[in-house]
Amino acid sequence: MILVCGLLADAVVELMCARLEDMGLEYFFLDERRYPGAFDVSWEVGPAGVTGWVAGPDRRVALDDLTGVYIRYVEYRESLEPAAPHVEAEGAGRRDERTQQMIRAEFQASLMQLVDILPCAVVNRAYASISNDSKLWQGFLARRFGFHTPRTLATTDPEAARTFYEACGRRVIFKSLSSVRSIVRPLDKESLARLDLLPNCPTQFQEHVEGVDVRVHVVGEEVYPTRIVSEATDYRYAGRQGAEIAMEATEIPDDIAAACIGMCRALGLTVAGIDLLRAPDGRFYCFEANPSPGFIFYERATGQPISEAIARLLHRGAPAPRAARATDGHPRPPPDARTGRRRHGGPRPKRRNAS
Amino acid sequence: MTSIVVIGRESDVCCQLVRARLAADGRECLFVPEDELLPGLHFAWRISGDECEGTVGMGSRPIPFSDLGGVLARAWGIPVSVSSFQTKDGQYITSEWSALLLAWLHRLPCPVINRLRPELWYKTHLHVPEIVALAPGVPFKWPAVRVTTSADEARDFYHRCRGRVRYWPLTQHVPYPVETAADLDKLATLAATLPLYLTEAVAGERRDAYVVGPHVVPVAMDGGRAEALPAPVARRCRDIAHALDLTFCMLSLVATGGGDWYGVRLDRMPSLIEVGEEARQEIAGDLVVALTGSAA
Repeated sequence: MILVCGLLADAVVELMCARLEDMGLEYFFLDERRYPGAFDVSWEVGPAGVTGWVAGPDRRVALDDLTGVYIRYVEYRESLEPAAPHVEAEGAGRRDERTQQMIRAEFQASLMQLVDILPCAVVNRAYASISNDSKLWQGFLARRFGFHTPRTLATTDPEAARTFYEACGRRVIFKSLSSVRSIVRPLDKESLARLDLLPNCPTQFQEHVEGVDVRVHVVGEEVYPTRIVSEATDYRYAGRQGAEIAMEATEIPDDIAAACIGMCRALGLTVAGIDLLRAPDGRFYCFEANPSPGFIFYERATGQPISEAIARLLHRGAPAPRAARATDGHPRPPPDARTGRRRHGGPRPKRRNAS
Repeated sequence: MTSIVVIGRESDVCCQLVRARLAADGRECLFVPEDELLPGLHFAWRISGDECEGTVGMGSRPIPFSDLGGVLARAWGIPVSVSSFQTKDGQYITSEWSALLLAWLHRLPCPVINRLRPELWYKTHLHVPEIVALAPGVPFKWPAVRVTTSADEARDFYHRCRGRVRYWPLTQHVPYPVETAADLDKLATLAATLPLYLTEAVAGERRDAYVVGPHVVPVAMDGGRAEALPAPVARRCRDIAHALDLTFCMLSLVATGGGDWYGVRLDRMPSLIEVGEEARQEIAGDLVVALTGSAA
C-alpha cells in the first residue's frame, strides 16, 4: 500500500495518483485539503518502532502495510477558502490569524513527524527536504561530490558587489540565497543602480557561466537527465522573458550520474531534481537539489518515465538511506556511490492525466 | 588575537554571560544583535571553488573571517521586528538571512556553537518522535508517546497510561498535565481542533542535563546545580548531542524510583533564565572553553 499526501489540485500529485492507478498499484490518498476533518491519523512510537493508522471517510490503513509514502509539502492552507469543514464549524471566523497559523502548523507537524519516522520509502522526508532552504549550503555539498560551483559573493555591502561585478568581467547574475523562488536576473545597469539597497537584505551574486542547463531527476538509484535549451537567464521563466524553451532527454557521464545519486543519498532524499549546467569545456556546475521537484513539466516534454520510476520505488518499499556524515557533521560522499542506471527517453508511459 | 562572534539578542541570558566572561578574560568579542541587524551588518563572503574569505562587522572595523576564533550562535533566524515579519518583505529578508547564516556557520573552520545540520535548522525543541527519527539507536528510555487526531485514541492512551498523561502542542515545548476525567474531557474537545501529542507522564524526579561538549551539567527543578548524573546517563546525554552534532543542548530527564532514566525532550538552544547562578556560571564557563579552546 502506498500513501499519497497532498492536494489533488497539485498537478504533480494528480499525476502520481494517475500513474499508480495505471500501474495497478494500491494507494491511499490523504487529501490535505480535508485534513483535519475527513481524515485522521493516529500513531505511536515504541520499542517496536512506529505503529498506527491513517484513515479517510471510507477506509483505514495500518502504517505497517505501507511500502511507500509520496508527500508534497505545500503551504496549501494559506489559500484554502473556506477552512476545513469542522474548523469552520468551530468558528474559524472568530480565531485570529495567529491562532489559525498555529493550528495549521500543528496539523502539518503531525504529518511531517510521522513521515520522518516511518521505516518505509518516503518521497521525501521532511527533515531531508530542508537543506534546499540554503543554496550556499547545498553548493558546498555539491562540491564534495565533485561538481563545480560558480564564483559567488553573498553580501550586504554595495562596494563588495561592485568589486565582484568588475572582477567577473561584468557578467554577473543575482538570485535568492534561500528556497524562496526568485527569478535569476543579470546584474545590469538598472540593478547596479539599486545596489545601495543591499544593506537591507543580504543577496547572492554569481559569476555568469555559459552552458546548457541540465535537470537531473534522481529516483533512488536511477537518473533521468533532461537538457533544456533557452535564451532566457532563468529558463523557468522563459515565457515571461519572451524566450523559447526546448527540452529533451539527454545523457550525462557516469561519474556525474553517480555524483547526483550520491548527493541525494547524503541529503537523505529518495527523489530530487538537481539543477546542473554543462559548460562548453564539459565541466558540470551544480546549482541546487530540489527536494520536491515539479517533474511533470519535464516528463510531459520528454516522455521520460519519472512518475513510473517513483511509483516503482514506492511499491518496492526500499527505505531512503540516512545521510552519511563525517565526524565534522558535514554530509560526505558514500564510499560506495554507484553509477546510476540511466534511462533515456524510452517508451512513453500510458497516461491518463499527464498531458 | 582572534575574535569571538556572539549572535543573539541583548536580552538572552546565555549571550550576556558568555560576553561577560569573554570581556573579563580580555578577549575581543563582536556582538551581532539579530534583532537590530539590518541595515548595520557588514557582511561580504566571497566563494571561489573551495576558497572562502570575507569580512563581518557591526559598525566597527570589519573582521576578516580568518581572524574569527569561534562563534556562539543564539540566533532565531529572524532579523526583523514582529510587525515586519508579518510582511512579505520581512519574510523574504528572514529567509535570506537564515539561508546565509546557516551556510556561513556550516563553513567556518572555527568552533561554532551550534553548527546545525539542516534537519535542525527550524527545530529548537525536539520531542521524542523527532529525537528517535534523527538520532536512532541512542540507548535511552523514552516515555510512551502517541500522536492522534482521534479523541477515542486519546482516551485509550490515557487509560493505558493509568491516567498519567501530558499533552504537548507539537510545535511547542510546554506540556499540559492530563490527570483527571475532567482533563480528559477537555482534551477530547481539543481533538476536534488540534492534533494531540500525548506522552506518558513518567513518575520520578526531573533533571535538566545541559551538555556542553564533553561536560554535562545537571540542574534540578529549582534551578540549582544537582549532583552529578550517573556516568552511563551522562554518556547517553553526550551520545545524543553527538548524534545530532550539537555542542550545546539541554535534555529534560526523569529519574524513576527504580533507577531508570527517561528522556523527555531536547532543546538545542536552551535558555538559562530558570537556571540558578552557580549552574549558569558553570555552563557559561564551559561554553567559553568550547569557543576558545581554553579556560576563561
